[in-house]
Formats: sequence, structure tokens, C-alpha cells
Amino acid sequence: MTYLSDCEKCMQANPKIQRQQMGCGYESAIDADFVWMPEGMRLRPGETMKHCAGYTCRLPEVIEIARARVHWDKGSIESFCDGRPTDAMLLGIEVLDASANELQGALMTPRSEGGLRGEE
Amino acid sequence: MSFAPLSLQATYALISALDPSLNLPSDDAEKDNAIRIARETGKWDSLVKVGEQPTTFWMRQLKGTDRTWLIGHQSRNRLTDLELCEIAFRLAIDKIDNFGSFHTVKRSKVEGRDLATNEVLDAIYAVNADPSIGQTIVAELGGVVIQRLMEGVAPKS
Repeated sequence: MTYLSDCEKCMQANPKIQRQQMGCGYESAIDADFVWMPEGMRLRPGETMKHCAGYTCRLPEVIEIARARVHWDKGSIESFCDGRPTDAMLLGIEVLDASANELQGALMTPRSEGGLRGEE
Repeated sequence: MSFAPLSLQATYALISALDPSLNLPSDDAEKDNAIRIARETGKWDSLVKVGEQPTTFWMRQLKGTDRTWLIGHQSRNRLTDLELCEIAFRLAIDKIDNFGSFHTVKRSKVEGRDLATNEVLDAIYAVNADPSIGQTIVAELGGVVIQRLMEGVAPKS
């Protein structure tokens, strides 16, 4: 979790083979069943993950979507986008918003009921 | 040296893997991986040779109607793969930086679509007086455009 927002630190602390096994986006892919993701993150049926969530969150397009969502939430997406948002931008916002709602729900649900609220 | 990060809204920059200013691994798999990482993260600095500047192709965001038209255009005209990449490249290209004296991309209407004229392809195909090099570049970059257009910019994970 320490390295979620700092790929450079993670690369210094973990050897290449270990990061490959965790799905590090900065390394070539290897056949691994496990891709690192933070606690509470779950894949829906049929979903797959190619890269570690930390790598994904730091990609410029993902950061752009996160910024756009703030403005979309306040009804000013066209101002942020300097015009009509592209289809890809809208899709990205929808995916992120749905995921954020899902996480919020999990944070409100006790661990005993499959959520993330309360002590481990 | 800084490059504009990839965007879902604004024009985005593409650099060809054949660009001589790039210092890429000799192993094909490692080279593909280095290009993938640079394209995803927008971090090209470590790949560019000191003191050199790559040719940067600035591409426009295409819309759903471009996708519909491109599929129909391919079907109506039975385009080869390279012709399809050329059309996608002409649809998307906005400007080119660091490409000799070539700067301005002229546009014309084709079936109501706003495409760059063939002049831009001719300029790329004239590189090293060997059209096959330019065709490889257009196939590579047009392929990126087609992938973004057809598959969408998929969730990255």
C-alpha cells in the first residue's frame, strides 16, 4: 500500500521479478495469476487486470478522467473540456464514478458483511 | 525535454518506434515494451538520445461517427490494411513537429469527412527516399489510431 502512489519507490524496493509477478506496468508481462491491487478492490465477473493498480492510477489519461469527474460532478464538464467531452472521456468518467460509488458502499458496510468498515 | 501527456480530450502526441532519435533495446519484445510504456505514461525522456528531438505526430481525438464512417469506407472500398491505416492516419493527424520543413497539414473533405490531404503521406514516404519506411511508420501510427477508435481507450488495468 505504501507504494500505491509512488512507482519509483516501489521499483527501488522490489526486484524486477517480484514486480513482474505483481503486474508492474513498467515491466514486460509474465504469465501470472496474481496482479497486485489494494485491499477492498474486487474484480467483477469477466473482468481482468493486466497491470498493478498503482501503475494504472498514475497514467495521464486516468488522472485526466479523475480531474474531469470533479467538474462533471458540478455540471461544468464542458468548461473543463473546452467543449463537448469525447465519448472516451465520458466513458472513463462513468467507469470511475461507478467504481467510486462501489468503494463508498464498501466503506459503509461492516467487514462481517463483506465490506471494508471496521477493524480487520 | 517534455511531451504533452496523453489525453482523452485534447490532441495527443505519437512518436514512431522507427524514429532514429530513440535509443531502444535491440530485443524486439523489450523494444515493444519500452514503446508501450512510453505511449501509456507519456514518459519518452529516457528513450530519446541526448541532444536529439524525435518527430512528433499530433493526433486529433476521433468521434463515434468517424468510427462508423471508417468501417463503412473500408467495406465499400475493400481497403487493404495499409490503406485503412493511411485513412485513419489522415483522419487523425493534426500537425507534425520536427519533421524537416514540413509543418502544416492541409485538409480536404472526403465523403463529408475532414481528412488531411495525401501531401502529408507523400512527405512521410519521401523519408530516406524509401517509401517502405514511411509506410511502416504510417501503418504503426494509423494502427494506434484505429485501436483507440475501434476498441476505445479501454480501462487500463
